[in-house]
Amino acid sequence: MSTLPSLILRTAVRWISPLLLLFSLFLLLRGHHEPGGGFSGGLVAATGFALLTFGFSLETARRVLRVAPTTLVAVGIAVALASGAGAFLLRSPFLTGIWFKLPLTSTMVIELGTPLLFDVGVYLTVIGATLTMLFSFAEE
Amino acid sequence: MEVLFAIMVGTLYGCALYLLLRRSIVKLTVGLILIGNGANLLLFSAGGLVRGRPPLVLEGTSTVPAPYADPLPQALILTAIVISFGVLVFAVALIYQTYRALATDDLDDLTTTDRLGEVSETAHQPVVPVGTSLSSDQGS
Amino acid sequence: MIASIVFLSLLTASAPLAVPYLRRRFGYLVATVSLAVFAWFLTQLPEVAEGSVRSEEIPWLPTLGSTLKFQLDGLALVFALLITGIGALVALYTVGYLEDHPRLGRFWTALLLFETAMLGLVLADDVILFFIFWELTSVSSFFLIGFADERPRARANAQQALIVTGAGGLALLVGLLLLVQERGSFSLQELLAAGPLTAANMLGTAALLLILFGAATKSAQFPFHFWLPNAMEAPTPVSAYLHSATMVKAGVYLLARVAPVFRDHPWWQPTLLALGITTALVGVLLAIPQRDLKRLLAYSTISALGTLVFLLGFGTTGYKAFSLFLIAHALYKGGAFLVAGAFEHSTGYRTLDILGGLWKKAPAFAAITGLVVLAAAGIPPTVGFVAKETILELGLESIPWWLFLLLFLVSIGQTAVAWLLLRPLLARPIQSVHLHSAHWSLLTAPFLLGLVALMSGVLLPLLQPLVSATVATLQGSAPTPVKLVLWHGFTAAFAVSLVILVSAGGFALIWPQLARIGDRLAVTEPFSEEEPRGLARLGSERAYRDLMTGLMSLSSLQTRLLQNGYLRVYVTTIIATVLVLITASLIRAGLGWAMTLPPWTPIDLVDGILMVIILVSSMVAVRATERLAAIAALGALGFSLALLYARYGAPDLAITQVLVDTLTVVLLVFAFYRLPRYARLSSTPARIRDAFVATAFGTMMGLFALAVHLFRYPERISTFFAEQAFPAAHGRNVVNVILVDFRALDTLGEITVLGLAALGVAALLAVGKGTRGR
Repeated sequence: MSTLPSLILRTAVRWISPLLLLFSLFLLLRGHHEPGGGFSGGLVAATGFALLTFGFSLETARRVLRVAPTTLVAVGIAVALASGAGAFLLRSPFLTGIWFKLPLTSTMVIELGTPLLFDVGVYLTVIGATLTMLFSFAEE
Repeated sequence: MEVLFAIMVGTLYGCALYLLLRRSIVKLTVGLILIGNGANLLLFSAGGLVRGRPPLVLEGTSTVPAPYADPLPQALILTAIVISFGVLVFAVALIYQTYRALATDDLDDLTTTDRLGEVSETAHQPVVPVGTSLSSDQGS
Repeated sequence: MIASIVFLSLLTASAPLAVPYLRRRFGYLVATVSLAVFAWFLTQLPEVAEGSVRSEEIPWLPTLGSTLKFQLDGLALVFALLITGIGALVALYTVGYLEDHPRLGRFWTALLLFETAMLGLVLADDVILFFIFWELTSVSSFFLIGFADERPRARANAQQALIVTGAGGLALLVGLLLLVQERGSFSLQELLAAGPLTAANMLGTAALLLILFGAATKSAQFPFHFWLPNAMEAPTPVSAYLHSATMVKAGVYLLARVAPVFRDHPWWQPTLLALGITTALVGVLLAIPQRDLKRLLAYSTISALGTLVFLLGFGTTGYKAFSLFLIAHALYKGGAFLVAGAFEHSTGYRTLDILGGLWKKAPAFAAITGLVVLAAAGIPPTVGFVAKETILELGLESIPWWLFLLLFLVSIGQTAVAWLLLRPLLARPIQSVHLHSAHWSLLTAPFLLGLVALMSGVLLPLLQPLVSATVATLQGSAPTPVKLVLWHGFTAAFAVSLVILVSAGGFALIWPQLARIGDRLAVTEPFSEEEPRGLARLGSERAYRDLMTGLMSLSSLQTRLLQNGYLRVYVTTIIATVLVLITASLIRAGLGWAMTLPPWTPIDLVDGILMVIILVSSMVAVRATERLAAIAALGALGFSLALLYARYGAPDLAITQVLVDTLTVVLLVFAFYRLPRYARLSSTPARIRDAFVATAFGTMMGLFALAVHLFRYPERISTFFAEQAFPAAHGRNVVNVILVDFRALDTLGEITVLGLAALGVAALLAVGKGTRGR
């Protein structure tokens, strides 16, 4: 962006962006039981980076992201594929869910399964794809 | 409520088609967004309308108490929203590049490559990389 | 048997990987494997000769009644031996012929694909399986003819061969299916066992004609013969193997296979006899004036294929001659092609009028050529002699004199072609030709073929079980030993044979004059687009070209009609179709739908407000004259939709819609400011017309949205999802469980599409980045 972003926007973005990223993780993790999930989580995270791009600059957003957004797309799809391929080990069809029980304390038991990993793949892909598009346009 | 939804669906589709039929390429984009929303709403209403009962399994039970909103169209629409966003961005990028290359937003000026036999041979010649030249004059 | 096909397929699949390492040595591997398969088939000979049929079966499409069933009987065995035996020699020859050609990997893949398919074709018992192999041989032939794809001629001829044999293949499929329909079985064995068909059966007659058409295109019968000489664009090993010894005989094989079904049909015998003798005559007439050695051999192959069809037409009496000639021709014509290729490889020429006097320069070469010519001309004691004697005897005994005369002429022509092979050795050279030494395999392969042709004549008792088994299959009876004799004494047939040899020799001597006559008549069609002249104007290739030109102009006419470049015309066409279909369905669903509408509930205030916002903002988006107004309207529309979703039990949708809406607005603001201002481009009548179409469409979709509520299915998938989400998939949010578990494969596809769209955007916007300064 050629125009200099206002100071108010910058200050707001500095606080809002990290919060948005945290919120996106929250949405992702609770998605299996409450409204949320990989799609909305990924979009929230992408919005956070969009704010960074406007409030500061494209370079800042890229630096904070650390990896190229296209890499995120590839990693996301790979994670989703891998989560489904695990079922082959049990001689089940592709993408069959596998679940483990992880006892934290005697009363609290966390259930972990490959569908959750699949959702992480969706999350990463959505962030990657949205940011690839956004950054491409921001470069113009 | 079904009647209201039907009116909305009809309006969205009608407005979308009108915009799709315009010669301005920018209006075409707006039409694409409207038709996407119309399709989503049609799917949503086709699944049946249940107010305020999201398909969530309550804590401590193992089934969703009836009546509940149909989860299947919701899953379909959720991905449709994200995908149509991707397609929209792609269309905008395409239109943007077309405009930059041809300097027109009138769809009627973009018909030459489709019309067979009415175009001079040069129109079918391959794009020449910068730095080389064809024997015949290409024009610009 | 299945193992041999699997083995060859594995070798085919490994070719692209192995050839870069082994390079020309891969040829030795192929030769060894082919030889091993050949040896295995040879061990089956004693059993098959006694009449036992070996069959192997794997269930494939059991619900359709189709199985992977293979069967080895006499006819299949003789073909299998030719395919693998000649395959081994051709593989060896290729080592010296193509050397370390840069596209060797592609060559071997296509050639091995062919060998596998051809073997499958002759062994297949299932009709569908047979057809698939049949098409695979056409496809691999396409790749091999077009091997030198930098030459336009190779590409055009490959396409021609594919179109002609492909058209035949389609007809064949229909014909075979008709036969299956008639007989109620996919097994060739069972189709044949049900006995002959008669003319009274219309379905059977249609099947006969279609199968005949398929066989005629594949085996280059007149008037579909023209693709075969053009196929000589392929490397010589391919010409020897596919277009002489094996693939072109697939049509003949098919006719032989179905002979037991059709032989009593009144059309069978006359058609086969007429088709065969015409092809045989046209073949030799066109062969003699050729200057190109390979085209010469191609036309004589056409003639030989015609002879085979002719012999089949005889029925039972012709089967012995058919089997003998099949074997003899594969051996000597394969050998002749390999010799011609060796000439070309070591001199750089393959035209008859340039080559000459080679016997002095390369005596070993001359000896091998001589050996092949012995077999080709039918001189004792080769198997070629035995075959020709048998044909002549048959001709003398059982056909009218005028038909015998035609057969006699064909025989002279074929023999003359054999003699012509001696011209490069003996003729006076026109220009001195440099002869560089050839790889040993270039000579070994034709030598072995010639040797087998010679030895099988001498050792006829070894050939006898094979011929008996083939004849038994053709007759559909138990094998009875066929009498094979090398020397009959000075019979009438032998006298005719002598006359043929001598007069053919005469033609070979005056060949330069004959070639000049041929030039004047323009028997050889030129490749270029120029107007054909002379005889070529009457040729069937002309008809083929006219047909192709007609197809092209028809397709451009149709394209011009449907694809006029105006997007709105396309959209209108699509929408009009949808309108008609939906209207028809709504009317069909019954007019009573208004009675069963869902009960009218009082409108909630918030819903009403949201609806008004949605309606108003869509109208604003349409009527806006400023881009920003349109974007703002879209934003308002999206948020209202999100609120509606939230109120109707779809929190996930609401979240996603809000987020996407935000991003869309941001993006549009970004992009639209680089695009031109809104402009009024359409005229007022166009706007009124479009408004009318749009209103009709909107109304239709609204009615459709209402009508959807009429169909309430008692059993819904959603019920299953809602019931199983927690117990089976450990999730409380059913929508999310559907996305990541129940329908995860769909979601996987969707995120892939999203990723691809993103990559597409990045690539699109990257175009011209570096040249913006221009």
